[in-house]
Amino acid sequence: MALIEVSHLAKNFGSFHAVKDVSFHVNEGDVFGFLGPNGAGKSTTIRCLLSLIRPTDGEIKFFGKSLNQNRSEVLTRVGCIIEKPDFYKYLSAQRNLEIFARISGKDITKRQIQEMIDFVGLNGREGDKVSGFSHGMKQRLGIAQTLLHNPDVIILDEPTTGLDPQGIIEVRNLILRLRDEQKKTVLLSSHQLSEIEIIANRMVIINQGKTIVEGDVHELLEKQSMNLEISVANPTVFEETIQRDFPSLTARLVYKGTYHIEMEEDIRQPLIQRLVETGCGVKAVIPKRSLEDFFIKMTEK
Amino acid sequence: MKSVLLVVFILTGVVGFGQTAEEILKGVIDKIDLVEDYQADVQIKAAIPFIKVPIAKATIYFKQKDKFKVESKGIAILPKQGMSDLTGFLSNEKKYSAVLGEAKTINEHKTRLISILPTDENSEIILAKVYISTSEDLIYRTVLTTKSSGTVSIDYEYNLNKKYGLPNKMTFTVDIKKFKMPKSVASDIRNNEKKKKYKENEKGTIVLTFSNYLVNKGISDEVFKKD
Amino acid sequence: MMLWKNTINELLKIATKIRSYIGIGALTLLILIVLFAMKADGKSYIGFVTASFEQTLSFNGKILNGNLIAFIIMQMLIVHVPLLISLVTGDLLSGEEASGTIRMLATKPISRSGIVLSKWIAATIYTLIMTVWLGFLSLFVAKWMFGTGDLIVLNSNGLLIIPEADLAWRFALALLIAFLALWTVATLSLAFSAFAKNSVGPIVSTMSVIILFTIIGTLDVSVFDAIKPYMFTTHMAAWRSVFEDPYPLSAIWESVIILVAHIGVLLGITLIRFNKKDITS
Repeated sequence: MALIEVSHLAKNFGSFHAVKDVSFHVNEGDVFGFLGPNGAGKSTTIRCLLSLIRPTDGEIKFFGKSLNQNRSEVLTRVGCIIEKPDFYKYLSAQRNLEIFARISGKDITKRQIQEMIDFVGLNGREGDKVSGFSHGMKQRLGIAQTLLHNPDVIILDEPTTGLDPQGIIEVRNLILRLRDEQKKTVLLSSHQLSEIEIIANRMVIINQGKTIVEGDVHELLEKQSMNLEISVANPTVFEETIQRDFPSLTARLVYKGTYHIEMEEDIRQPLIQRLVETGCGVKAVIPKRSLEDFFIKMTEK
Repeated sequence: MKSVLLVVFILTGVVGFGQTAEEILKGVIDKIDLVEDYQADVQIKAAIPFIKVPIAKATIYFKQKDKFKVESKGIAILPKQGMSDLTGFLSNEKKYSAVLGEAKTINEHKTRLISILPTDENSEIILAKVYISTSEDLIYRTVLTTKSSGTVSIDYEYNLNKKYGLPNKMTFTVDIKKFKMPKSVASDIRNNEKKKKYKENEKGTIVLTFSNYLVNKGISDEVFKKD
Repeated sequence: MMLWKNTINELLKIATKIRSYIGIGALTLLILIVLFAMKADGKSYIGFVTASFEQTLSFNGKILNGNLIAFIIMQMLIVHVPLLISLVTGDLLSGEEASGTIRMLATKPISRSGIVLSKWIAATIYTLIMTVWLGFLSLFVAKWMFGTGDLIVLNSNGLLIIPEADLAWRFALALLIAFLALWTVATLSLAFSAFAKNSVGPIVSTMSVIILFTIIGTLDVSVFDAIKPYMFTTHMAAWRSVFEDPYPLSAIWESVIILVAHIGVLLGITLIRFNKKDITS
């Protein structure tokens, strides 16, 4: 069953068409990637989903009901972080949660609030004013706020932006836990395809306010060229091997001993095997997929 | 002709009633001197242009020679001249010269006018016209012309305390200068409303009705010291 | 129900924000300064009031009393309290916008109208607290310091002395009308707040409107005569009419109706604006 259905959404700010025609649907249990480069209309679409922005045209349905006509009911079942979680800085973490709990549409006890504080690992800091919190701590508090009323759908707008690698991993793990343990449906936006590739099962890609493609992440990506970033200890041997054994490939030097390789079909396995055999000292192989490349490929079709 | 009139005037003035101005005043002063001290309740009813004031109640205290005090719970407005200062002024014969004037009937009381001119140039009172009933030794009207307050006229009525010359009712008529509104205080929101037009100077009256006189019962000096 | 819950939230926010206490603190300080000044040199102020009559009449009794001081304080502060109130009320919507919390608030299952109304109710309660505090300090503290007595009021057509027994209801009514005036200012700054992205704009705009209207109100130019009766600033001093005798009941009613109409219209504008607003911050 589709929990979120967006059809032909459009939003104009005066003469500027931020969103022209966006449609997609999110099924129950999905971790749904909402992809697009900066300025594609992601933020506007997500704000429309949460009734922060009034669409110029199109329809949004949650749980089979129109958002416009069932706003309160829908929002009671949705948790979200838009852009970055902002809190009342002059209040403590606990007070902030109490304030949002009070208007969440559900009865939430102090104990539940404390449990949520424990869940996101802020125990011991709940009495501190938010003004003293780091970005990561605010992000965690934001997640606590999102989950507090046990929503069915969670919408996260670029949740890893501004976080350090440790924070990014924490958020990723948390999203997977929400899907696996609590069976939540998650919609998250990103401008990084690799991030979506890791955690999402379905995705939509939009560009210039329009839907480009929607579908299963792996199905969509399989059709695409695979790029690799390879670091080697012995560049001369590496370059010789490529020229000799894989003449169709082009290796572009990115950094000292690190090359970018573009391949039309997935020949990762034979390539890596050969590189190991020739003894070029493979240190790292990182799969790379650029959203930009993906767009170019999609628009070429 | 002139001299004949003058003779007639003198005859009627002096011989006709058989008393000089000083003698008439003495009768009044002797009465006043009977009073060592007094206190009385007074009801003050003021009808003064530019001032709207409810009827006030006060207690007044007097003690020879010039101690005077008004004690009121609320705000009481009294004339500046003519309360106690007149009797004090009259008691000191050296400070003025008195001239006998016309006879006049005031409120059915036959009175003689005595014009009093202070000898002291610095005196606030320029001229006091006092109408005295010679038969009762009581003042029935005073018209004071003062340096700064214009003219104050006082009518007296007596009842129980006639023997002390203490009135039970005094009606003051005073000149009130045109009221000038200090601009900074005005915050009248209905500027467009027409205001009553007042003449340059208007008369105001203050009626004092005395009751519960306590005469010569002794009043401590402390009473007058309190602010 | 949601409205009530969010009103609690709004009151909680006001109660924990430092700026809310700037208003109350400044008000307290201002009143204490006036009280101190009157204690030190009140007699000369009285002289100023009664000067026109001093030569002819003597004023007896306790003129410089708590009632007069309360009246003086109210007269002085009616210009400044609006600033202190808009400091808080002008921040209510714009402050959320500036801090980004508006996104959190507007994605909760409370309607936009509910957000505006709960903030407006909280603003009303804050205004009420300020008015009551003003009344308490000026009446009770002044009476405690200066004692009680008849009130002598200098109106544009002369002096009026109001007996003490006749004052309690007048002060109560005056404070009620002053509250209406301040409530109008609070609603005005809330309306500005719905159009702004930070709280400086609404506060400055509110004060500018008050100053502009007050100047228009005092200009004796006939072109403005038609609009003067409808400007809320004209009626901000309506509380003073209660201290006239006889008090102009119909004029007071007119002021009350115009102030209430302003509150209604301004609240309406705020509701429409905030409901239509796209939150892009």
